[in-house]
Amino acid sequence: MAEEKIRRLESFIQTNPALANVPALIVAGKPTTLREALADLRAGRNVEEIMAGLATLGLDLPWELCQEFYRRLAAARPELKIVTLGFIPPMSPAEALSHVEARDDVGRMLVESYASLLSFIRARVDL
Amino acid sequence: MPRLNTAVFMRPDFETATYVGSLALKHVVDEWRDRGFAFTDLAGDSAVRVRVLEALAANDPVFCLLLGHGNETTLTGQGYDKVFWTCDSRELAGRVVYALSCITAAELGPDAVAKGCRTYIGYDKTFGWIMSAIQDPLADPYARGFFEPVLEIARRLMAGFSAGEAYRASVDKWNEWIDYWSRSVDPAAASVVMWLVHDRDAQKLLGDGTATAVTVTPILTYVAMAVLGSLPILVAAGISIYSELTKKPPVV
Repeated sequence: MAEEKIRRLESFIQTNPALANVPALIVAGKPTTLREALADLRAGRNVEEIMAGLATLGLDLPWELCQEFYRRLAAARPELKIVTLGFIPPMSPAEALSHVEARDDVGRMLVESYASLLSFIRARVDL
Repeated sequence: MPRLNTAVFMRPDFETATYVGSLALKHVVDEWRDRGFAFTDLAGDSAVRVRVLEALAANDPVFCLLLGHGNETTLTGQGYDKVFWTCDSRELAGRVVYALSCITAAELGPDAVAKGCRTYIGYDKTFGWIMSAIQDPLADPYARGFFEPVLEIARRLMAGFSAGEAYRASVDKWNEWIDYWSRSVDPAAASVVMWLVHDRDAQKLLGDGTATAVTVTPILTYVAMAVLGSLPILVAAGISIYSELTKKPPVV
């Protein structure tokens, strides 16, 4: 079972490098990327927790993971703008992070969008 | 009965999102003009309800491409001027509408279709994108992937395809860009994929997928493209044949 997951994750990470470092699940209390989850599975660490987390990617609103995602984006590409046609002023990644931390309406919209990404990953990895 | 080959474009540009969207839709306006179709381009301060209603009354266009900020019930124009809202969308009856806006496909779109709008393409969630600078989004490395699927809908419609075919071609474009950015190692790639997936899944077609906007049939478009594409070969072949025919016989 774990071997099959390892094989699928390896294949996914190889063909979708953009998504390998997305915080995707909470393992041992910490946001964990698919690449880190794969390393853990290979080493036989936190196997049950990772298997359970992979099976439910994107099914809940991932506030903590989304926060970590925008924290990393704000550090890597602070100049980017997130623009919408929904009465929301353009946001930098740092401003998006503030909304997610505040758990306001914009933050909720951003987290729902992040949940869509995790669902997309789950479907694409065929977990 | 709205007139085929006729369009109204609404392009507010009063803040960043509409300014960038307006630059993108300018490509549609130019291509529509190049094809010789009639249109009213309501850009900037003209992108308000009173001018839109005037254009609909005067020209009765079948195709309405409407950019603006929106929510579930309301589509706005320049300066957030309310243009259409639920229970006030009768003027869209019989038309093919593409609303490039947030969330209007959730309530305004179904309301418009219930009141006779033939086809309504829009988004039932927030429409968002990533960009690096305020510029024509087709020139922005990140924004381009969001606006090519948008333009695809208008381009297909003006080439004679049905609304359903235009919608599916747009989804194919979304998928192409999702695959492109999924393979990227750019630090912003995951955020681009996230919003591409979000917008693709939010894009909805309501009403009649067989509706068309122009009298050109797709087959004529294909024939024209094939002829134009093979023009250099035909010219080269013509020159070659001519030179063969006019070649002087060898002196024996």
